[in-house]
Amino acid sequence: MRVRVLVFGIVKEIVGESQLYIDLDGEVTAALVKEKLLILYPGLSGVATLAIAINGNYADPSTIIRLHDEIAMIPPVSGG
Amino acid sequence: MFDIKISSEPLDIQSCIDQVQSPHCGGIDVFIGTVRDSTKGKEVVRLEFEAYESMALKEMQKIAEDASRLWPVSRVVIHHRTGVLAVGDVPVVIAVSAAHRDAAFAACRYAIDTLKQTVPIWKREVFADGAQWVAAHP
Repeated sequence: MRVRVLVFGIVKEIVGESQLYIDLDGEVTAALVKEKLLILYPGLSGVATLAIAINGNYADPSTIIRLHDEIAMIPPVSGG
Repeated sequence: MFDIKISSEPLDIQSCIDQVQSPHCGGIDVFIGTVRDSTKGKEVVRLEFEAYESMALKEMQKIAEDASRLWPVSRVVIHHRTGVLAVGDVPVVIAVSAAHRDAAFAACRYAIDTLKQTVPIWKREVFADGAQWVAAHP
């Protein structure tokens, strides 16, 4: 399944794009997406925390991702 | 009544206050965030705010709803600005009205504290000799 991931902040800076496409086989979980991104972009391991959001909600690592879900990788937030 | 907004334009503090004002409310608490001129001894040239807008609006809405469940408040306004801000500019305004002040104070405090934990907005500090995303590295 091809998954599109929106990235922000330091992640966007490391990756060099505001969105990426990754291909994953079998059952795709939030944890798997994060794992794959860490492999593709080792620089991400220096980021303090990386959360995954699915359709605008923070996701548990075990949450399953379906086609057309909007996925985002969320580095430490610093609003306000 | 909740009003949640993200804007790249300067925030209108008075308008936030006017929005929460209501005849049954005895008090309005307002939090105004302001850009500081330094962080850890380094002089800040400007701040840059980026938002995952659709999710940030959702999270801000949740905060307003949770605040009004936890305390007897009447109206909550949460406005956040994005883009480039100079020292002294206002990135966030939270206004809460309630019949009595205890609830207004508590809910307003809760709203800003929670916003800083959960809302997908990011701040980049720009110094004379470099820049960093706040809290990005351990």
